[in-house]
Amino acid sequence: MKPAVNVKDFSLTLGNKEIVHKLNFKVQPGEVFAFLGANGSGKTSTIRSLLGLYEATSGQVHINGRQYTAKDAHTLGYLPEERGLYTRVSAIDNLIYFGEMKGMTRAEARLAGMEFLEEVGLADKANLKLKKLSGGQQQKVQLGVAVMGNPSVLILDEPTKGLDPVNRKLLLDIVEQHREQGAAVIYITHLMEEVERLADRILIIKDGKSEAYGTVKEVKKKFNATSIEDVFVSIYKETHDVKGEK
Amino acid sequence: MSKLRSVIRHEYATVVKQKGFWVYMIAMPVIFLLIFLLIGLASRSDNTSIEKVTNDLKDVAVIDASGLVSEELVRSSGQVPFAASEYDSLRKEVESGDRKGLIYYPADLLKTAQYDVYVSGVDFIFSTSVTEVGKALLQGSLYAPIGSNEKILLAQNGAEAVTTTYANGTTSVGFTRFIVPGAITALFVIILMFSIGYILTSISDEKENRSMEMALTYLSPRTLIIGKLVAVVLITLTQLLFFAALAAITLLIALTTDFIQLPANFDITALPVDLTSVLFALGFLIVGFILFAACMALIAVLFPAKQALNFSSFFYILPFVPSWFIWTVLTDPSNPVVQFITYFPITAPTTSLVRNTVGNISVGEATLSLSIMAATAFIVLWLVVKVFPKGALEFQNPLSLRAIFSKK
Repeated sequence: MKPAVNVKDFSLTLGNKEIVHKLNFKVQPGEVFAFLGANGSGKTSTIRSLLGLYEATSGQVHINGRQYTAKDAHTLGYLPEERGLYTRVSAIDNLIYFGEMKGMTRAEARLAGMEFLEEVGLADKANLKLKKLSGGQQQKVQLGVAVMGNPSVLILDEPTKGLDPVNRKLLLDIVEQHREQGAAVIYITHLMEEVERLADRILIIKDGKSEAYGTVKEVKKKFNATSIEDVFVSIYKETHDVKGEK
Repeated sequence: MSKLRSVIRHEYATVVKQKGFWVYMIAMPVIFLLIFLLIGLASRSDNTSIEKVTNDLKDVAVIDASGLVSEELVRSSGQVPFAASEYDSLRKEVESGDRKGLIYYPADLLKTAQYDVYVSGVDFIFSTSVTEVGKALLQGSLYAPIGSNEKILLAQNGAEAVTTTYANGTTSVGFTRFIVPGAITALFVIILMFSIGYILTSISDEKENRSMEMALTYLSPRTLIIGKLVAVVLITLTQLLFFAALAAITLLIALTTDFIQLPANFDITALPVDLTSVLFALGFLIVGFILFAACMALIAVLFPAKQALNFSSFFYILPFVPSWFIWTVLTDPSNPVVQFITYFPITAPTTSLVRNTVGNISVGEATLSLSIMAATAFIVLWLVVKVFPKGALEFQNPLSLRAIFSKK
């Protein structure tokens, strides 16, 4: 099967610092791929390179067989760690705007946006400005923006951060729905129970280098660990390099 | 193209749907309108006061011991002349409040050049009016030997000069030719104050709330920046339409009521239009607008939000540099300072607009100034598109020179 995401010998240098060194991974359609690493390990830089925001110093970062550009917006759903919606604009207008960016007509985007808001219990808040919504509600809208248009690749950077268990389950269910529909999901999180629940394969990086790569079972076996959390801790424990949350 | 349309609509709607946009835009004219209304009400109140003062002035006695004041003039002015022997009793009447006032011209007026005024009460307006009446009676009496009333008035008030100016061998239309290019200059200042900042706010806000990363995921930097610039043009046009409507209402009020006074013989349909001057003014306005909008965009891209806001203040101060040398700009266009600010890109729009308004910029100078502005605007716009992807994702620090000029 042709991979939806193909990162091959990818290196990235920003200024004088090498952020990522010869990284390799593939994400298949219908697969949830957990991309893990401590803060500052190079995850966001890799994602930004996948999105075409940074240019790879060497190697390739392909989505659906080529370097992603804004012309391929309809194929991609992105939920950044630093949430990025328009707080002075209503929830539905945010969804419509990004739906249009993904090639939907205004009417299609409005319909899809309202359907999503109903699904997550925010239909009655559709016309409220985003800044009037709670953090969790804003996060749901942010996920809605990512899944608008049923993209073939979803990149979700800590999508459940700060959510209560009920809403976390709701969002994870939505992610699973899209996986079942054939979307390739790159999932970034610090919550290892989510990795255990969702991920088919994982990649753990440290200082921009690959430390563990394979199915959840393979990685656990390789590190002789009972959980992914143990694997993660053992990788970072070696140098006591785990940095605190920013 | 559909993405560009969406960006323009989004950027435009985000601004014009804000209450603050309308509050800010309405507040300024409303404040001016209130001032006009207060002036109008004050002038009506003045009229009432004047009537009262006029009535009270009839109760002012006049005694002329100098022999210089015409009794006939005193009577015709509505005051009552009295004999010098009644001075003490009249003064006591004023003192007790039974009489409003007394003007007393002493016998030695020629030597002392002083006369006495007694007023009942502390009404400053009335007191001043009595003093002025006293002065007018004396002056009128002294001017009387000149002859007719017309001659006296002419001697007192002087005459108005009717100036005819010639330009290029023909009679020029004088001051009124300044009105149209002057209005365009005023328009530029309004745009500078009200509209240019929107593009800075738009980009800085997106950087601040991190929506820039999302936007650039789905849009090319070029589409995003062009969309923002076009939206600012539309926002500006909305503001101009709003102000034009207010101006039309004001003109209508001026033409149909006496609340606002227009200059005598003012005829808007007969305003002279010097085509060259108007075309250059429009050129300076449009290119100047693009230049400043591009500069604001560049600042917003290069700096984090707070620094961008601080740095942008230069672009609100520098255009007004010509006002510091306004007399030199108006009278000595060949002065090196005036020449410099005519061609320095940030001061060029306002300087050239002012010089174009008063007609002391040649076609060659205007063309050169306009070309410099256009070239600078082009370079700044090019730079904005070039650094936009880098600066847009730099949320914390200003973009370094190295990053600006690096390949990627």
